[in-house]
Amino acid sequence: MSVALLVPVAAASLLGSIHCAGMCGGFVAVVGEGVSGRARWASQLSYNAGRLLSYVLLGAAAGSLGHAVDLAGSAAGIGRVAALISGSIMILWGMGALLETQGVRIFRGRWSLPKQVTEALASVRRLPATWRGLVLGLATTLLPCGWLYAFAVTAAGTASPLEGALLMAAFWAGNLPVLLGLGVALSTAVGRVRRHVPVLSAAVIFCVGLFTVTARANLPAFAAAAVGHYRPSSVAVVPRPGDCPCHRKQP
Amino acid sequence: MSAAFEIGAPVPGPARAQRESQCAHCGLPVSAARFEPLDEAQFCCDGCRSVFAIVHGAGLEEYYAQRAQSETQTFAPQRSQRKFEELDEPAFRESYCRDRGNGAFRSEFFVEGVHCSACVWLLERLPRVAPSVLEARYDLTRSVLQVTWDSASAPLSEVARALDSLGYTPHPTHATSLAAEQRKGDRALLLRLGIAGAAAGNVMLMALALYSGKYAGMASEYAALFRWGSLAIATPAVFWVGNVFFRGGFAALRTRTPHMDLPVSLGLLVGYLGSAANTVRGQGEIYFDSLCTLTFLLLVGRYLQRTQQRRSTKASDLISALAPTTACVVDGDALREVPATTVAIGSMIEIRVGERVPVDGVISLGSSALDTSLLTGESFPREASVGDRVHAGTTNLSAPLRVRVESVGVETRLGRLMQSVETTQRERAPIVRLADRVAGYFVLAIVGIAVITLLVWLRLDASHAIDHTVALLVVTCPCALGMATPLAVSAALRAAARCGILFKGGEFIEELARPGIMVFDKTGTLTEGRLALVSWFGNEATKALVRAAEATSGHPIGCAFQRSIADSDLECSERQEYPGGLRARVVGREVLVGSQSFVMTTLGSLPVWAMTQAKAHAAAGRTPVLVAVDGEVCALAAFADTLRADAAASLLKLAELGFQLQVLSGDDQRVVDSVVRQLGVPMMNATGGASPEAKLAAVSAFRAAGQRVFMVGDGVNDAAAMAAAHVGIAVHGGAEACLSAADVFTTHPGLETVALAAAGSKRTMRVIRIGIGLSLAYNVLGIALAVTGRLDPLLAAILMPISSITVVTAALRARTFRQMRAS
Repeated sequence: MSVALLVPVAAASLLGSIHCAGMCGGFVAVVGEGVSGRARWASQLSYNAGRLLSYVLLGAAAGSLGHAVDLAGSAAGIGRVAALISGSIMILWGMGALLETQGVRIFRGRWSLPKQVTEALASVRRLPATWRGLVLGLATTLLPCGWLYAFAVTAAGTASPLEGALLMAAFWAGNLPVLLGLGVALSTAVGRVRRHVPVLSAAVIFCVGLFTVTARANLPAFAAAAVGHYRPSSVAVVPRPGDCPCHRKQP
Repeated sequence: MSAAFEIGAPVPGPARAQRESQCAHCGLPVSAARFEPLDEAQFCCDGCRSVFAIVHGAGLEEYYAQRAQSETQTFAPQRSQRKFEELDEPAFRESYCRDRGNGAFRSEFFVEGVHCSACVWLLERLPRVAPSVLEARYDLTRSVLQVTWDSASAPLSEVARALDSLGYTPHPTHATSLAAEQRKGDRALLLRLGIAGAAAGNVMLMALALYSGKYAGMASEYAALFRWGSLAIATPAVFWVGNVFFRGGFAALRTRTPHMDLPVSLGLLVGYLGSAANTVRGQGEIYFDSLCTLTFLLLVGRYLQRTQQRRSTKASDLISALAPTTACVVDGDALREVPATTVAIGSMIEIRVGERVPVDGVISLGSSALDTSLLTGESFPREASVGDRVHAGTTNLSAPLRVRVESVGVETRLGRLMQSVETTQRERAPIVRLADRVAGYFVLAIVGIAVITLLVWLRLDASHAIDHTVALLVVTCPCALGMATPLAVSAALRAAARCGILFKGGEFIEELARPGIMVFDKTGTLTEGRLALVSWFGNEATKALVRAAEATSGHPIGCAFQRSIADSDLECSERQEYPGGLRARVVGREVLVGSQSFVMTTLGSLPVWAMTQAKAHAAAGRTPVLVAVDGEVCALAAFADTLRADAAASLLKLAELGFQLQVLSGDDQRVVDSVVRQLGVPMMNATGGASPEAKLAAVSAFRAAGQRVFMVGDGVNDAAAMAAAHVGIAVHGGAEACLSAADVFTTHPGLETVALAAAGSKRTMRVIRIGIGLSLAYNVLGIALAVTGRLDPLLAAILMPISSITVVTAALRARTFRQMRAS
C-alpha cells in the first residue's frame, strides 16, 4: 500500500477537522483547565499523544478485522474483500449523511455513552493536567463520533494492522493543527465555512469510500487468470493460483 | 450501537425554532433530521451530546460562556431519569404513596424481567440491599412490586436505584400500564432472542467447519479465522444477551439468595473464559457453540414461560366462571352482541329471559323476577322493576329487561368479590414454598459439586477440566422446583375456575388431595333444598282447587304446590293465611290447606285414614299436608326434599377417593335416616338435630383427635363449622357469604363438583410430584454423566433447555380439573 491512500486521508481529515474543533474543543478545555504556560503545552501534548495512541490502536484493530475478512473472502474465491466492503460502507454512509443534512434521517436511534463512562470521564478533573490530557486523549476513541469511525472502517479496508494504524495516524495528523491551535482566533477563521461543514464531511466520506472501492477492487481469481498477466497498477494485486485454498498443500 | 438508549427527562421550555438551530456544544448547524422539538438543547451529533454531558459533569459549564458565539446561550444538561429523582417530589409522594404510619410509606412499581419464584424471592429480599426498605412484596400476575420503606432513613429514589442496581428497573405504576411495560419487555426479549439465535447459528456453522477441519485438515490461518470469528460473535451473545442471566446471578449473590441463574451464569462465564483463553493460545478446545446455543434455547424457554405465566388466575378469569362473557348492547333499533368487558358505562343492554346478567346496572325498562341465589343465596325470586338495581351473576327469570350499565367487569359487585379471591390466591401454597427452599439448596449443591469436579479433573486431565465443569453447570436444572410447581398450581386454579370451582388458595388444593373425614350438611347439600310433592292421595280435581288457593303464596309449601301442579284458571276470592295453613274460597268452595294440627284445630277432627297416612309419611321423613274442601278432608299431599340426582354417584366417588363420609344435619333424625337410606352409600355416621354450635363442636372434636376434616355445606348456616374444618367447601348459599366463610366455593350446586374438586386436587398434586420426580431423575443422570466426563457441553446445552421447556409445559398443560359435563 502506498502513500497513495495516506495523503487523501490526511487531507480529508484536515478538511473535516472544523467539526473536530467544535466537538473535541470541550475536551481540550477540560484538559487545559486551570493550567497555563508550560504546563498547558505539556497537557496539550499529552492529550494529542493519547489521541494518537488510541487512534493507532483502533487502526490496528480495524486492520486486523479487515485482514480476517479478507482471509474469509479469499477462501470464497474473492480477493481483497475487506476493501470492497469498507468502501461500500463508506459510500452508503456518505449518502446517508448527505441525506441527513437535507432533513432525512435514516437511522433513528441515539448512540450515547453509558452514564458510568460519562461520570468517570467527568471526574478526571481531579487529576493533574498532564494525566488528564492522556486519559482524555485515550478516551477520545470512545466518543460516538461518526467521522472517526468512518475512517476506522477505511482502516479496516486496508486489511492490514500496520497499514490501518498508519492510516489512523494520518487521520490524526490532519486533526492536529486545529486541535493545537484552539483558541487562536479560531472562530473568525472558521466562521463562514461553518454552515457547510456537515455537507462537506458527508461528501468527503463518500469520496474516500469511492476511492477505496475502485482503487482496491479486485477481480475474482478465475477472471484474473483469464485475463492473464495483466497488471493494471501497483495498487491492484492479482491472486495467484497458490492463493486458492483448494490447491493448498495439506500441512 | 449502544443498547442503553439515554432517556432524558424532557426539560420543559419553549420549543426551539427549527430553522436557526445551532448545536449547543459545537455551534454547527443542527439539521432538521436531528431536531428534537421537546429538548431545550439541540445537538448536531451524538458525539457533541456526549462531550456536553462530560463537560457539565466536570462542572465546566463556563467553557461555553468563554467561547465567542454569535448567540450565547448555555443550556443545562438533561437530567437522567436513571437517578429516579422525580420519585422524591412531594406531589408524587402525595398521589402515589400510602402512609403506613411511623414514617413508613408504601408505593408500587412495575418490575419486569421476573420469570420465576426465585426471582420473586430475590426481589423480596430487597431489604438486604437497601436497608431503608421495610418490606417488599411481588405480585407475579400483575408484575407489581409493593415496597414499604422508611422515608426518614432514605428517599424513595435511593430505593429505586437499589432496585435498578439489582438489574430490575422499577417503573412507577401511574406512569405506564402493565400492558405497555410487558410490550417493552417482550420486544427487548425478542430482540435478544433474535440476536442469540443468529449468533448461535453462525457459531455453529463455524464450529462445523472447525470440526470438519479436524478430520480433513485445515490450514492454520483458517482455523484461526474461525476460532477468532467464533469469539467475536460469541462475545456479544454471551455478554449482552446473556446479561439477563448474569444479572440474576449477581443479584442472587448480593441478596444471598440461591437462584437458578447462578449455575447458568457460572457455566457461561467459565466456558467463555476457558474458550477465550484457548483461542488466544491457539490450541485447545473452544465451546462457543455450546454457550451460544445455551443462551438461545434458555431464552426461548423464558419467552414461552412469560406468555404462559401471564395467563395465570386473574379476577377476570374467575368472573367468567360466574357471569356471562357477552352482553347484548342496544344500538338504536338493533341489538349487538359484544364482550361483557367492553360494554361502556351508561350504555343500554338488553337481558333476555333465562339469561344471566353480565354487568351491574339500573333497570330502565321492564319488570321481572330475578334469581339472586348466586350472590346472596336467596332462592326466592326477587321482583325488580324500573329504577331497581341488578347485579352481574343474577338470572333474569320472567321478562326481558333493559338495563343502563353502571359498572363492568372487576368493578361489579361480583368482580370485587372475585378480586378478593384472587388476592388470597396469590399467597404461596405450602408445596410451592417447599419447592422454593429445595431449589435453593439444590443450587448451592450444584455449585459445590461443580467446584469439586473442577478441582478433581484439574488433577486427572487438566485439558478437559473446564469442559466437564461447564457441562455440569449447564446440564443441571432445578426448573421443576423453581418454575413448574408454582405454574402447575396456578394452572390448576385456573382450570378449577373454568369448571366452576373457586379455590381461595393453592394450599386448599393441597389439603383436598389427601382424604380424611368429609362432613356433609343435608338440606341443600345432599338434597335439592326445596320441597317437592312426592305423593298425592285424593281426587285429581282437588289439585286444581289447591293450586288456585296457593297461587300467590310465598310459603315453602305453597311454592312447592305452585311448582308441582299446573296452574288452573280458577278464581280465588278470599284468602287468609294462618300459621300452619291457609283458608281460601275458590269458585265458591271453601278450601283448607295445612298441617295436621292446623286442620285438626280448624275442623275439630280428622278421619282415621288421614291420621294413619300422615303418621306413615312423617315416619318416612316426609311432610304431610291435609286438604279439606267444604269442611271435609279429601286429600293428603306429602312433600319431601328430594335427593339431588348426582348425590349418590358423587358420594360413591368420594368414598373411592378415600374420604370417610358423614352427615350432620339440623333436620329431624328420621329425615336424615331416610335420606341416608335412599342414598345407599355406606356412611360413617349420620346425625340429625344438630344445631350450628353442635356442628362446630363435632368438627372441632375431629380436628382435635388429629383427623383431617372437610366440611361441605351452606355458606351461611355452616360458616362456623367450615372455618373450623381443614377445608370448608360451600356448595350453595350465595357467592358473597360463601367466599367469606368457606375455602372452596362451587358455582354449580350439587356434589358432583365436590367430587370433581377432590379428584382434581389429587391429580394436581400427582402432576407436581411427577414433575419433581422426573426433574430429579434427569438431574441425577445429568450430574452423573457430567461429573464422569461423558457429557459434551454442547449436548448439555441442548438437553437442559429442552428438559426445562418440557417440564414447564407439562406442568401447565396437565389436565387436572376436567369438566365432566357441559356447563
